[in-house]
Amino acid sequence: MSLLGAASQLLEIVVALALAPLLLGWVNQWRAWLQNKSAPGLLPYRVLHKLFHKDSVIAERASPLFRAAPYIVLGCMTLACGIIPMLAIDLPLATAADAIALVGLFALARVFISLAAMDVGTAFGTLGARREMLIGFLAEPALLMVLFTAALISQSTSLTTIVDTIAHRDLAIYPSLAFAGVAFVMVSLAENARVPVDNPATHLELTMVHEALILEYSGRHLALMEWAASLKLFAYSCIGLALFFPWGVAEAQVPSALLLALPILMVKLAIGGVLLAFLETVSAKMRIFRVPEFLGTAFMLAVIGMLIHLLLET
Amino acid sequence: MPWVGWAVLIGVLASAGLPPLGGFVSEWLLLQSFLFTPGLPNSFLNMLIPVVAALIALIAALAGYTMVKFFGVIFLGQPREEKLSQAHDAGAWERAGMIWLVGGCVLLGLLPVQFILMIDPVTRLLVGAGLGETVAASGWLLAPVSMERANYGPVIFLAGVAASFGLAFLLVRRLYHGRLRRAAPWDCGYPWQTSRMQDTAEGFGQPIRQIFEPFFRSERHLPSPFDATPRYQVTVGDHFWHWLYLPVAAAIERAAKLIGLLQQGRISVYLVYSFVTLIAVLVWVTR
Repeated sequence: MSLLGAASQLLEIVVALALAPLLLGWVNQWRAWLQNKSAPGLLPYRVLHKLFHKDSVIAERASPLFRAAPYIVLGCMTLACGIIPMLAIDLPLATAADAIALVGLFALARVFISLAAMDVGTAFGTLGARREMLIGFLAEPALLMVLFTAALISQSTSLTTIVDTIAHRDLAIYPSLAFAGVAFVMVSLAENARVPVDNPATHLELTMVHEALILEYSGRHLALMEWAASLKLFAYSCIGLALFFPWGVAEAQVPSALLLALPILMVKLAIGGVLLAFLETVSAKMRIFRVPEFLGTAFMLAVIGMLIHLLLET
Repeated sequence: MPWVGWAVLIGVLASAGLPPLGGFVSEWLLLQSFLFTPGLPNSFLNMLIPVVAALIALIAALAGYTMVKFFGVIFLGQPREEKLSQAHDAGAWERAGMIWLVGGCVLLGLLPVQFILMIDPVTRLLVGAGLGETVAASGWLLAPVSMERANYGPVIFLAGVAASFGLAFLLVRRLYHGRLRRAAPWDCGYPWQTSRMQDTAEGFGQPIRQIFEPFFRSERHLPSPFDATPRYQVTVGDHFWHWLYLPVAAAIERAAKLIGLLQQGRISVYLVYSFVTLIAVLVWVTR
C-alpha cells in the first residue's frame, strides 16, 4: 500500500460523502426543470443540515437495533463508495471486497434498513420492509449477472481489475456489455427507489417503498438515512460509469492524474444525472406487482448478455 | 429478550449469506467456482455453468427475504398473541448454547483462510486437490486463485464498516448533539395502532407467493369487506404432488387391487393355488 494509494482512497471517500447529496440535488433539479418547475439544486445539503440540528424523536418501543441501523447503513454505503474505483485504480480498500462482496454489502444495508422498519411494529413499516425485500430479492441476482458479465470479460471479479481491463481495450462495442448496460440501468432504478419502481417524492401509502421504510425516523437518524440513500445513488452511478465508461480513471501513480480524474468524474456524473432525470420524467410509476416483470426482464437481459459473451466473444 | 434477539440476529445474517459472516464465504466461493471453471470439454456445458450461477444468486437473494421475515415477524414489532408478552430471556446455560453457535458464525466468516487450511486434508483425500496452498499464500485475504482474479478480506471489510459506523457516530455527537425524545410511533399520523395491524408471517410472504403463483397450487378464500367475522384461508400445494406422486400412487393402488382379487382368505383357495403351482412346475420339469 503506497502513500498515494491511501491518499486516493481517502479522497475517494471524502468526495463521495461530499458530492452524493449534490448528485441527488442535481437529478431533482433537472426533474423540476423538465416539469417546468424551479427547484434549488443544493436542497439536499440544507435538508441534511436542518435534520442534524433537530431533536431525534423515536417511538417508545423502538429497540437499539432501530437506533443503530442508520449508522450501519451509512457505514455500508461509505465502504461501498470506497471499494468502487471511481477516481483511481490503486485502492487499498479494494482488496477487502470484490464485485460479489459489493453486492453482499448492499444486501447487508438492505436487510438492516428492513429490520429497522419492522422494529416499531407499525403497519407502514412492515409494508415497506416487505416491498423492499421483494424488490431487493429480484434486483440482486440481476445486478450479480451484470457484474458477472464484466467479470467474465476481464477474467476477474476484482473491481479494480475489471476497470483496468475494460479501460485498456480497443474502442469496440461489445454486444454483451450493451445488454448488461440496459439491465444495469433497470436494476439501479429499482434499487435506488427511482420512478418506474418507486416515487421518492410521495408519501402515498399505496405506492411508497423507500419512504415507508424510513417513516419512523427523524432528526439525525433520518439525516443519516437520507445521506446513505444519496450515497447509494452515487455508488450505483459510479459502478455504472466504472463498468461501461471507465475512461478517465487515474491509472498512473501521480497526483496530477488523480486531480484530473475528479473533474472528469463530475462531468460524467452530471451527464448521467440529466439522463436519469429525463428517464424518470418520461416514465410513470408502475404497480407493485408489475415490478417483478420489470426486474425479471432485467435479469433475463443480463443472462442473455452473459450467454452472448460466452458464445460470440470467447 | 435481548440475548436471544442479538444471538439470533447474527445467526440470521449468517444464514442469509451476508458479509462478513460465515454464510457469505461459502456463497462467495461457490459463485467464484462457477464463474471461473476452467473450460469443460463440452461448450454447451460451459454455457450452462453461468446459468446455474444465476440460479444460485436467485436462491441467495431469496434466503435474505426469508431471514428478514423470520427475524422481523418473531423478534420485532409488538407481540400479536397474549402469551407472547410474557416471553422471558434465556437463562445462563441457554445463552451458552447460543453463544458458541454465534462464535462459529463469526469465526467462520472472519477467518476463512484458517478454516480452509483445517479442512484441506479432507478435500485432498476426497478429490485429490485442495485450495490450501494458494489460499495460505495470500495470508489474511481469501484469494482462491490469485490476487488479480478475486479476493475477499472479511476482516478489512468488517473494520471498514465498523470504522465508518464509529466515525459517523462520533462526528454526529461532536458536531451536532445527541438529544433524543421518545414518543408514540408516527405511522402517518394514525394513533389507534394495534398489534394486529402488523404483518404475520403469512402476510410478509404473500408477495413471493403471488409472483410465483404458477409454481404452486394455491387456493385462497378471502373474506368480503362486509364480513362481520372475517376468515382467511389458504392452502398451498405442490404441482409435483398432483402431476407425479398422486398418479403413481393411484397406479400402485389399482395394481394392488388386482392382486387383491387373488387373496380370498379361504384355505381351500390357497390349497388350489399350491396344487396348480405344483402341477405347473411338474409339467415344466418333465417336458
